[in-house]
Amino acid sequence: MLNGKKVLITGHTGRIGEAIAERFAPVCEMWGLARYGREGSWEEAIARGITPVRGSIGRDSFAELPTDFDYVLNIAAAIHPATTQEGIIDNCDGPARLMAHCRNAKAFMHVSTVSVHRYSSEENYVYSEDSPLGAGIGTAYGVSKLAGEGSVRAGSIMLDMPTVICRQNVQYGGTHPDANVFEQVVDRFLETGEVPVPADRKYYCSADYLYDIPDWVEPCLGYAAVPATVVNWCGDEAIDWLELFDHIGWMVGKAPVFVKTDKFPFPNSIQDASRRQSIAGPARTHWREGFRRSLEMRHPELSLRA
Amino acid sequence: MLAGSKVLLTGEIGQISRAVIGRFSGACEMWTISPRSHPASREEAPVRVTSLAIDLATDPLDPLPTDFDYVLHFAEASEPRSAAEGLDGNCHAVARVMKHCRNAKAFLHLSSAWVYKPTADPSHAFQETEDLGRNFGDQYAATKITGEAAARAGSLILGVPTVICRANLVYGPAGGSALDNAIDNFIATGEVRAAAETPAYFSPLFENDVADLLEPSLALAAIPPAVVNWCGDETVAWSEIFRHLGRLIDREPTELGPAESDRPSCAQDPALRRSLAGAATTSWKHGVEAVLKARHPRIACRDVA
Repeated sequence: MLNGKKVLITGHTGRIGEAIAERFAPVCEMWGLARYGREGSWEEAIARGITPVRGSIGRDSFAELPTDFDYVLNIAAAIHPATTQEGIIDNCDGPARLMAHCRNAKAFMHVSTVSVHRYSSEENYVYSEDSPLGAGIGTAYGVSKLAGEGSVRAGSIMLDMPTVICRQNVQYGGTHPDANVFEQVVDRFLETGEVPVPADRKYYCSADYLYDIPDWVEPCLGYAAVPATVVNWCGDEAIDWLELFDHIGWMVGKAPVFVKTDKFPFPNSIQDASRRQSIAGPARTHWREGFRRSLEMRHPELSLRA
Repeated sequence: MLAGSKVLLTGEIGQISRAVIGRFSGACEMWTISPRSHPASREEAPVRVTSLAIDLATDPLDPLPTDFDYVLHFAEASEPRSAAEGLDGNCHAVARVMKHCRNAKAFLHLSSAWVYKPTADPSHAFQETEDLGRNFGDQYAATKITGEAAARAGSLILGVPTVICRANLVYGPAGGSALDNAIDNFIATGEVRAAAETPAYFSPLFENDVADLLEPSLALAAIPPAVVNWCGDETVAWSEIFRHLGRLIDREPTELGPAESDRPSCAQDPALRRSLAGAATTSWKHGVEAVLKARHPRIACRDVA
């Protein structure tokens, strides 16, 4: 589908965007829109075969950006906006500005988050695409991403542009310089043997392996429609945090010490993978295998038990 | 501003709509749409209102002209039973009506005070720039946030100057709002259901003041949209409103527990609204007294205000 096409990708300097760009830049005419704030990221883009254009989707002029893209992959997001008002500029107005600029695209893919749901106090609640929306756990990020979904829904209707909203779980894996919070916890465990656990609940999620995500891009673009459709981007299995670290501990030969904390960084987030499975097949990587590969890539000095 | 222009008003049955129709329909060419035809409300309205039965979430908009000067989008799904229903009524509908009326000089999107993120202090008066995020009314607040987003996107994509108005409790002799219904119920039974939080504070807005706000709010429309609180000048506790009414009619209110659907505390900062439209004409004490006298003329009412 993307072969030979003119494709715009935003946020390709981040983890998910990089994995997707790595897969598709060699086969299409890929343009990148990002701030390129990280040193070397502009040169990396060129080396990867991406034509970079510097800019923020919510705040800058698109004068240097062509308008004749076949597909738009909108992955850019402000992850830690100071206020919802700031978040809305980047995460809600930004996608609308981008849609307006690329209004002739065949399809628009918008990466969203499981945090747009109303948070359930049931620790093993399964979020389907149709589960209630809400303010997540009340962060400016979750609320501004909820607004972002409203924005691309409106854009889809107003521009008659097939759109798909992909709600991402926690992802892990890869050697990207921005270790995500998940990997920071793994690194801390390797260093200290300690693993934080929430004081008030058992934590579950449906983390997805970073390099499985590019498998889903074309099937999701094919699923885009007016009004917008929604697909969960998550692993196929619910992961039990204690079991995950028991397993990582087993691989590295170190028993985890679980330390209860009131400041556990993740809300529980088991997602229903069935819609994604029906359009893109099962996830290729089970979490035991995914975390092994992630450890191999990020910590080649370790010898892992097989 | 509205005089002599062509105006579309969506959601003709609500109290805000009725106040606006009452004030402006005689002076402009006004069209109204709502999911079902409401002959009664058309009879009440003065001449020159053309009403169409159109559900913005589902029906084709072909019967509706496209050359409106101003759009007042008051329609909403106030009690959506699912995310899908809320998105249809509160988000997709905004996009559909904006697309249809893309040549309008200004688009007014009615939102809600209950999109703000709650704070520890229940009497806190929210400013327009404060954080959003609330789970009120099941899927209502969340999908109203997507509605504001749709209006923002429409403004940016279609180039339509837009203003988002976040309404508090609106009330008045026309009746029908949550506060009016609670007053009616108090008169009938002596009972007052507590708000969903106790104490709960609001900034109720009297219906005549809504009509005064309309043109100044439209004048604020911009790309990307401006936001203005539609609230009264005073913050008042829910229980205080009914203690005052009780003194007026010499009847002690019996406080009941809250129902799940009741509104939680939400007061708003009126500074921007005041700068646009001046002080509100009606204090809450005079407002609820006016409701009492207009809707319950046979109840003896003391002069204690």
